[in-house]
This record gives sequence, C-alpha cells and structure tokens, in this order.
Amino acid sequence: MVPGEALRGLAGVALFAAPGSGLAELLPTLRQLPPGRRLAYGYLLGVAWTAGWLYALSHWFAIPLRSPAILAVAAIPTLAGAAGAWRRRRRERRSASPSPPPTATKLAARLALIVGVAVTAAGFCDALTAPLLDWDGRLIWSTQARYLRAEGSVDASVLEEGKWWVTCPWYPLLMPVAQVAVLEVTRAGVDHHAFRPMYSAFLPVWLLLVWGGARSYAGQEAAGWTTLAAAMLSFPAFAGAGGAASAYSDLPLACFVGGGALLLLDLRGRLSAGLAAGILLAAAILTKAEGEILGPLALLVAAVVPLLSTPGARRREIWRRRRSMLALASLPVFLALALLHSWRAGIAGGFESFTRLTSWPLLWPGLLTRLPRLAHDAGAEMLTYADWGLFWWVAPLVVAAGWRGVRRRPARALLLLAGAPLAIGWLYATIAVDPHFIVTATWDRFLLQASLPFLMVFAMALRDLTRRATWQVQRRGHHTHLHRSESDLADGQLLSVDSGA
Amino acid sequence: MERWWQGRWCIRRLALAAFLLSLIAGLPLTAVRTLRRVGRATLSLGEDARGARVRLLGAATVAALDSIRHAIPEDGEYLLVDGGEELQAEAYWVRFELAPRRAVFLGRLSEMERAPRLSWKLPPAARGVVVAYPGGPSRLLSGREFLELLEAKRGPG
Repeated sequence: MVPGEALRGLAGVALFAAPGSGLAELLPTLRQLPPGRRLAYGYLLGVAWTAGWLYALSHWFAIPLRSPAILAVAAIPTLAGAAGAWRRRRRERRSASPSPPPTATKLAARLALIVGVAVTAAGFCDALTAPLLDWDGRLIWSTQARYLRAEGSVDASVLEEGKWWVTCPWYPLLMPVAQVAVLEVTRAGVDHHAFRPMYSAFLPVWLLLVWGGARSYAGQEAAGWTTLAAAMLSFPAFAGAGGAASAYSDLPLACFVGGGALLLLDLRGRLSAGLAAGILLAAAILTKAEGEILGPLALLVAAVVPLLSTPGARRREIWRRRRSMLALASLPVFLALALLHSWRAGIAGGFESFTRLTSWPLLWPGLLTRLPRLAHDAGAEMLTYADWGLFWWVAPLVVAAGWRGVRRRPARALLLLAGAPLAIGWLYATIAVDPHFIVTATWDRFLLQASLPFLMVFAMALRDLTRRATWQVQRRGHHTHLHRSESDLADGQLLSVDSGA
Repeated sequence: MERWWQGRWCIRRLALAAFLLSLIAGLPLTAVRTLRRVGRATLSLGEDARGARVRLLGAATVAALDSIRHAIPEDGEYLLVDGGEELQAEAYWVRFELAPRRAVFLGRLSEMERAPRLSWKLPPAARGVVVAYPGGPSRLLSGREFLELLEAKRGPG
C-alpha cells in the first residue's frame, strides 16, 4: 500500500460521503439522527444521488461520465448542505439550547462497536491493498464499468450492438457508474482498485443501519446484541461472492432497500423521511435486477401494512399523516423505473442470460416437487459455518422463543420485506434449469438482501427474550409485570428510545 | 400452570444461551479473518497497485496481459478462446483484464479441436485471437497462427 494510492481509494468514499452528508443536512429527519447513523444514511444518499443523476444525465442528455459532470453533480448537495449547516449553527449559537444528556452505553453496544470497527478496518485494509479478484465483480460489474468509462456513457455501444461477448448487459448500472465516478475523479489507471473502498464502506453503513433500526424497534440492549451478531457474520463482511470485500451489488442493494424501508415505516410520516426513502429505493431499482421488485414493494408495504387491522378512524388518521410522505417517496421511484426501462430499451439481447438459465414451465409442479431439494440446498448454505457462523442455527430458535416481541405491528411489514428477496430467490431456483447451481450461487446473497428487515425482527424477539427471562428470575409467580409487558409490546408503535448516542 | 410457565422459561433461557454460544463460536472465525487481512495489508506496505497485481496474478500473467493490451488498442476488438479442457472461468477474467477492448467469444479450444475442419472459419476484422489458458499466461495469436494451432492439436487425418 502506497499512501498516495490509498488516498485515492479514500477519496472515492469521500466523493459520495460529502454530497450525502449535504443531503442529510438538508433533510430534517436525517439531520436529527445521531452522527453515525446520519453518516450512514448520508453515504447511501450520496451514492444514490451522484451515481443516479450521472446515470440519468448520461442516458437522457448524453452528458459524458467525466470529471466535470461528476464533480458538478456531487458539489450541488455538498455546497447546499454546507450552507445549511453554517446557517443552522449560527441560529443555534444565538439560542444556545442545552444538548441532551449522554445515555449510558451498554456492554453489548460497546462490544458491537469494537467488533464493527475491527471488521470494517479489515475490509478497508483489503480493499486498499489488493486488486479485485471476486467472481461477479469481474464477470459483470467491473467489466461493465470499464466499458462505460471508455465510452463515457451508460449507453455504451458494446452493450447496445449485441455482437460482443458481454455477460448480463441488461443489469442496472448504478454501481458501475459509481465506480466510473471514483476512477475518473481520482484519475486512476484502468488497473487501479481505487473503487474497492467504495464497496467496503457499505459494511459499516449496513451495521449502522442495523444498530439504528434495531435501537428504534427494540432498545439499546437488544440492538447491541443484534449488531454484534451482524458484525460477526462472515458473509457480509468477508465473502468474495457478495460481501463488502467484493464488487457485487447485493450489499448496496440490501442497504438501499433496507434503509429506505426503515425510513418509510416510521409512523410519524415526515416529508423529508419520504424524500430520503424515495431516493434510496430509486437507487435500489438502479442497483440490481431484484431492486426493480423490492423497491416498489417496500413502498407498497409501507403504504398498506400500517393500515391493516386498524380501526376505521385511526386508519384514516394514519393515512392522512402518511399519504404526503408516501407520494413524495414514490416520485424518485417512478423516475428510476422510467430511467431503467428507457435505458434497457436500447440494450441488445434483452434478458437472454436469464432466459438461458430458466424455464417457466418448470414452475409447476416444480413448486412442490423441487421443494425438498431446494430446502436442503438452501439450508446447507445457511448452516455453513465459514459464511454465517452459527447464526442461522440459533436465529429461528430466538425468533420462535421471543415470538411475543414479534407480534407488534412493525414486525408484519418487516417480515414481509425480509420474505420478499427470499421468495424471489426461491422462485428463481424453482424455474432454474440447474436449481442446485442457482441456490449455491445466489441463496447467500438473497439472505443478505433480506438481512436488514430480518435483523429488526430478530432484535424484537431478542428484546422480548431478555426482558422475560430477567423478569422470571426476579419475580417468578408475580404475573402482574408480565401482563404489563404484554400490553407494552402489543401497542404497535415505534419505540421512542431513539434519542442520544 | 406453573409447569407451563417453567417450560416457557426454559425455552427462553435455552434460546438466549444458544445465542450467546453462537457469538462465542463465531469469535475465532471473525478474529482470524480480521487479523489475516490487517496482517496482509501491513506486509504490503510500500507496494503499489501494479506490485499487488503481480503478487496476486503472477508476473508472467501480468506481462502477457500487458503485451496483449499493447497490441490491441483500447477501442479495438479481438476473438477470445477458452484454452481450458473443461468449463472454467479463465476467459471471463481475461475479458475483464482486456476491457474495454471488445471480445467475440469463439468457444473452448478443446471443443474446436473436435469440430470438422470446414467449420474453422474465423470472423473477420479482429486484431487477433486471444487464448485464455487456466493457470497460465494468455496468448495473442494471429488468425493464421490460431488455425495452425488447431491443426497441430488435431493432428494428422
């Protein structure tokens, strides 16, 4: 590692963190978050904004993917955010309000912080010192990025002409565009791996989203243990076939969909949360083929599920409070869908790589006949110690034993959102010509895509377990506390334990 | 009723214990992988991007790729052949290394050897044929050299 070259990689991360922080400053919902979570959402917004606009400008207005355009797109929110922060600080200095008292950090949260920092540092060490060696990163994403960079356009002729050997030319190109942005701005050579830290940065972002979301739903202790468990999972951190160490788009997709959904499920229905969520879901659509389903689905789930099994008057009130937020969130989503379909219309070969691997007539009776084989293969992937440790051995037990914690209203939406990528993966394997190959190659990545909502549910169950296990020790036979806790847990509202830290 | 409560209590305790056990069991793996990456980065202090490529891909492979890049301009095109005996990924990696040069994939060398001679007709307008060998450096051949290679592999008759 040479310091100058390492700085290039870190500058690539800053290229997205700066405009994202600007956007987070301009959006009140994100501005009020603690610094770590604000930075996490900021990074996601920065990638979504910068690469998303470059994608649109290149396709619709033929603006080249070169430094002037990249820097201009990144500078707008950076400068606007800086101006907003400066004005806010001046206002706050005049009316100096006392800052909230710091909250005591629990053991689990400290352990999660230590492990999270360690695996993040390890990921950056690898990304700063070694070239890309993973499978799909070289097969698809980074190869496409090289074509885009050479032609300075997302409508590269190599993708459109159909006579060249390109794998999955119809895959959405948000992450390759982000790669091009890093390489162009840092003036890195074609072989330089300056874009790899950009992917590594998604790991701490994912962990901060797990921590922040779990803290909102289940409190600090359960969030700490859940984040610790997430930080110790090898697949998201180290896997060369989908983790932060690779140039796959699965971890970015998990962060975009999960982060957007967590913002949308907040029952307060703030407009700025809707806009931020919409930008993230739009990025999900432009990141990976599954995002085209998962992004709009997250919007639908956030719109419908809070209204289910709610009395009429309350339902109307929830809808009135949230409809503007949902409408605002849907704007970037529709724009991204329009961009994706407009861009894809010019790509040669259609879904050829997908249709070669699958056959729809296999769907029935494959749904039944392939079930045992697929369950066996998927189970084997989940129980692989090298990828997931013992997490999938114990997670079902924890969720089942803490099921009362999962009866709360947000859990239904989260379970739906966690189930959606797994359902897509299952369907894909069911209609696959070689289901064993598809499961072994993709199931771990579908788990990663489902990870954020699932870990929220896991945290809720864990909270229920820890509370009840403690109470039972302290007050065996005293059922009054237990009754009170059940009414606490069934209230269906977002817990208000989100201040501080 | 009391027994029912105790049963539930046991399951909760069991679930918590299993969870803590899973954390403890995951610690060695996380620690080893973390330390290995930090250690490798420490050892590669002072090594530039090219040095890292040479270390991981091998000097002969990097030299071969450089020479092919020199021969085919960035906006050029080439024919790509997988030199492996069975389905391997080497052709993918060579395509990645040579991108943004455009590739037309011809197939696997072992399959082409078995094809009748009459079908040995190369598409025109390519700068050459790149044969990607698994575990070894790739070779750039002219169309004539490639056909001679096929002849030699096929043998007389």
